[in-house]
Amino acid sequence: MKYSIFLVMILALADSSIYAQKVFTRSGQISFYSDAPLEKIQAHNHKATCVLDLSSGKMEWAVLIKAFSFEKALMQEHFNENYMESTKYPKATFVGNIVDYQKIDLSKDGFTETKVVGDLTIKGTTRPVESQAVLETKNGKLTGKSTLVIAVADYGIEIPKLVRDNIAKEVKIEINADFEILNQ
Amino acid sequence: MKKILIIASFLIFLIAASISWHYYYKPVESTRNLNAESRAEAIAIVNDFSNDEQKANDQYLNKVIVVSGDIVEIEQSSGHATLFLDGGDLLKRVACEMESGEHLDDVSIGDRVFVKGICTGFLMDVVFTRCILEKE
Repeated sequence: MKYSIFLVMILALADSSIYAQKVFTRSGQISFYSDAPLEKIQAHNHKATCVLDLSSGKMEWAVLIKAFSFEKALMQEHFNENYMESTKYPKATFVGNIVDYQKIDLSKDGFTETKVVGDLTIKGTTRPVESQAVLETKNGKLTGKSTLVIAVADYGIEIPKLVRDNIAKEVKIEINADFEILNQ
Repeated sequence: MKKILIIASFLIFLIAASISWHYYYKPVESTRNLNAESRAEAIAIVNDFSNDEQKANDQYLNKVIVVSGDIVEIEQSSGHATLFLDGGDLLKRVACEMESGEHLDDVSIGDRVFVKGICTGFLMDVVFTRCILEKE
């Protein structure tokens, strides 16, 4: 009788230590795609950071605008200097929550589909956003994927008439993360 | 006379069009061809960003810098190699995202290296992109 209580306590502690974990990444991948009549543009960033608290679902992302790489030099220049003013606003951030964080179990292999809700800040403007994410646990590791569509005008990004057919009004953002466990 | 004018203006148009086309499609230049604006130790850069991020941004952001330091980690993922240099702090380092095609076979953890790249700012690490290895 006493032994089984002891065992339950140990198991409860072990369980809570998995759920009390924070995971993070410094090499999150964020790509965005603009599909306009005259041109398709894409840019990639492999240095996004994210911290996710599995005990509360709270998640924070940060990405450096100047670290987005484009194929064409002119595009990268225009993106930074004209559209994003990245010297003035060097980062874009997201602060929010993974809604179904309680379904994530690092001790079991599996997939969790969940809504992600939060505030996205680009070029100094903050807007609430919502997206779907798929989180996979495999061999004790967590990876996540999500897609988000935003209207560039919502963030004060103005597209001149001249290039209206070259840059889409709505841009698709793809997020990929391979998380590591934060050892505190 | 008219014929010469027509041919001349057509040629000028062709030259102008090809220059614009070339400029429009020009890929991002390799850092190998860019001159470094300054040199700094990784530890000093991390210090500067930790103490006053705004001031450090003014000093380093978007500049071509040769950063020197000891390699603490080499990461290879999805075609992108990143060298992490010791920033004097367990949690903060200088992350150098290397240009694609840059060979990292000759370097290993513990080596002191010189990396020329462009500073893009500070998150958990100070991030440099478009990096290449320099001899000094």
